[in-house]
Amino acid sequence: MEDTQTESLWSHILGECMRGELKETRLEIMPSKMMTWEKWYAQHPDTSVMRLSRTVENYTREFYRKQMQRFVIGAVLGDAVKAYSFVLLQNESVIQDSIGSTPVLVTFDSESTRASLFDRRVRGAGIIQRTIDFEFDAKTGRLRDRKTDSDWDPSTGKATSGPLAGTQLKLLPGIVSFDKAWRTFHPDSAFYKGTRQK
Amino acid sequence: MPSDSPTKPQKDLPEDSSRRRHGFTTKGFAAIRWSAIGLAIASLAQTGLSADDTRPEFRPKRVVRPFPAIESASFIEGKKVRDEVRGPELVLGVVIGGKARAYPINQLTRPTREIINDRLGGRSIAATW
Repeated sequence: MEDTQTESLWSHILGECMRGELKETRLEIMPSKMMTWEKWYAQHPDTSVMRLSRTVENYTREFYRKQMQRFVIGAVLGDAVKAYSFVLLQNESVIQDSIGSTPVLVTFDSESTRASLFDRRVRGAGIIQRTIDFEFDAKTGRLRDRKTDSDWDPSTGKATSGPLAGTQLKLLPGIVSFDKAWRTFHPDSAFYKGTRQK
Repeated sequence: MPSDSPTKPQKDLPEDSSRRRHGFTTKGFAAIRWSAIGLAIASLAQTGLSADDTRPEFRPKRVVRPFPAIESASFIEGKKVRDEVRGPELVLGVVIGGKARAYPINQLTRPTREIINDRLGGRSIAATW
């Protein structure tokens, strides 16, 4: 993409100016989520929505479902770059991991093909910051933290009941990308290998 | 049907090397056309990239014609949606300053739609696809 003021060229995926006057300037990547409209609207009833004509019709949940192996969610946090394949996310639903020094929780919903990346560090009542240690029961779909046994919603990253009810994990700027594109732009990226290989 | 193939020709945006300074793309750029989506604020911030001496020089491999920037897309309230976006369709959703907004992917596809200049919750952002 090009900015109209300086005609510098920018990379969408890096948010960085590649050539021109603003070379090496970076835009801040805002945390966002890609998911089905019905789920987004259920979680954000006050949302606004862009209204342009459709240029294509194919980006529904089926688009990702039928070719999971081609996609990742990745993030750049400081100097650390890491990506999680949709296949592993589908298998594990919830991944507790770290990207560099940031403890993260990656959650996936194959129904709406939503992948989200959260920071596991939260502030308690005081200034103490603590890292939540999660446990996910694949059979019941229950996500709980080990210390307080509070329940968490893997989609919103919010504690729904228990001592931490109402606590919100911070959404991190994860980017859903073709695996191939991620590797092209981030040749030094780490990749999550799955629990079995650890 | 999108593809991440960097060699796939684009019907509506033919190669135009005479206007190279307006276009892009490297091999990687071609890939991003169909790849990632993210939201980036347009306010600029210098960050330390001084360690990038080892990176290969940016060499666009294919160039496309520029197209008008979208700066005033139309928005409606989610509760008034009828057929503008359907339940199973994918959206890119963002919340800034307590304001939530969704960008339907089926409206963001094709080169003239891949960058939406916008403002939300007091921030200048660009939704890109």
